[in-house]
Amino acid sequence: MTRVGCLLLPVLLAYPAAARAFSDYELFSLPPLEGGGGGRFYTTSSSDGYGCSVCHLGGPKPVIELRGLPEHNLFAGAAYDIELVWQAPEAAHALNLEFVTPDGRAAGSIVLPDPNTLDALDRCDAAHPEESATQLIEESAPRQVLWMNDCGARRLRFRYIASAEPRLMFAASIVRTDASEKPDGDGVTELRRELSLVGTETGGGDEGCSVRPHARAQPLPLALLALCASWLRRRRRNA
Amino acid sequence: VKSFAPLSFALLACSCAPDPAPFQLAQPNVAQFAEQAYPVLLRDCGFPGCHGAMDRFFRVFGPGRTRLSATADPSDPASAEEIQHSYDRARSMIDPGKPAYSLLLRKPLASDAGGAGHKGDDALGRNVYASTQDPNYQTLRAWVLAQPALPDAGVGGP
Repeated sequence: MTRVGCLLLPVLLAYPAAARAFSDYELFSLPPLEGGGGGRFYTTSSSDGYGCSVCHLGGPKPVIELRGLPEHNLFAGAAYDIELVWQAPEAAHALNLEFVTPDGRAAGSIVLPDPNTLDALDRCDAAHPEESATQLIEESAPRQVLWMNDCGARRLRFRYIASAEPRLMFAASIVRTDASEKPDGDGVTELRRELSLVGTETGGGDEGCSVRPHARAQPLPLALLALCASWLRRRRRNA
Repeated sequence: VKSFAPLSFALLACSCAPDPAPFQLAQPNVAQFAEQAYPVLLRDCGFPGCHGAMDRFFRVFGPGRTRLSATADPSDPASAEEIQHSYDRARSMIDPGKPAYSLLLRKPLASDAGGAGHKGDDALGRNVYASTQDPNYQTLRAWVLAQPALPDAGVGGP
């Protein structure tokens, strides 16, 4: 290979001729005849039950840690800082996620962090310096789908403002890509959580970084306290 | 020899029975398929993990999905071969004697809406179309029912 060829090879490898399938969020809403999803966003939610696994298959499934999202005891209007982290940061990951009601309507709202607060983990890697790692897909309205580009970001952070719907669902479909530009060889994990507002579901502790507008009464400790007081009073009387 | 005579006569009689009516493939409108039904099949069925897989009988190929030509770019327009292949596979799922009973219409429909026999449920255990009122289902149905039923097509559901 000539010296010029050696110099050009890394450049050619970094910029493949073929576009990555569905690596552009606009593709999800394009008509099928143009290669688009025709309005499918593949989140596995109640409004879009098929996930990325209908196309991407054959590779190792991504292992995802979801932080900051309490399954029960959400407060309407409260803000929750959610974080998704993957165990194989060396592999590029892409995802679509949303919050919906059981009948498929958007529930609450997603807010992306201020770009000035992002650090290297949140951004695309050096091979994709001009690309944005995340995007709220406007074309998904009235749903609100958050898309993440497979550009090398190593985590996803966003804020969720809970809706007043008593029951809702968080649904995400996450692809671990093999960077082959083809859907085979990729692995998919689908995350779904049934969520409920405080007072509509028992059990499940509070987790995460919720900002609570109301304090919640704790009936069990109060009852124990009353029982102890009554026992002490009776013991004193007997003495 | 005498004891075999009735058997031989019976076999001869069977072999002379008229052939059953040959199976006829449905002949739905090609242009309507390309403009209306094909985009729906691409959108809802033709994923590489579903009916874009080469090992499936019912296959739909096209842009953004599995390509019939290995050299096609994902975003290239659908080729004439891809449309024809998808059309042939789709019409083979149509019951020409009773089009409304076609597999193409029953398979993707929820069982409580009259569908049957599809394994491709979504993550929540639902079929592709929850009801016959789904606009995409209605597009498929309109294409299938646009052709008149063939009375002697040789097949037919209940």
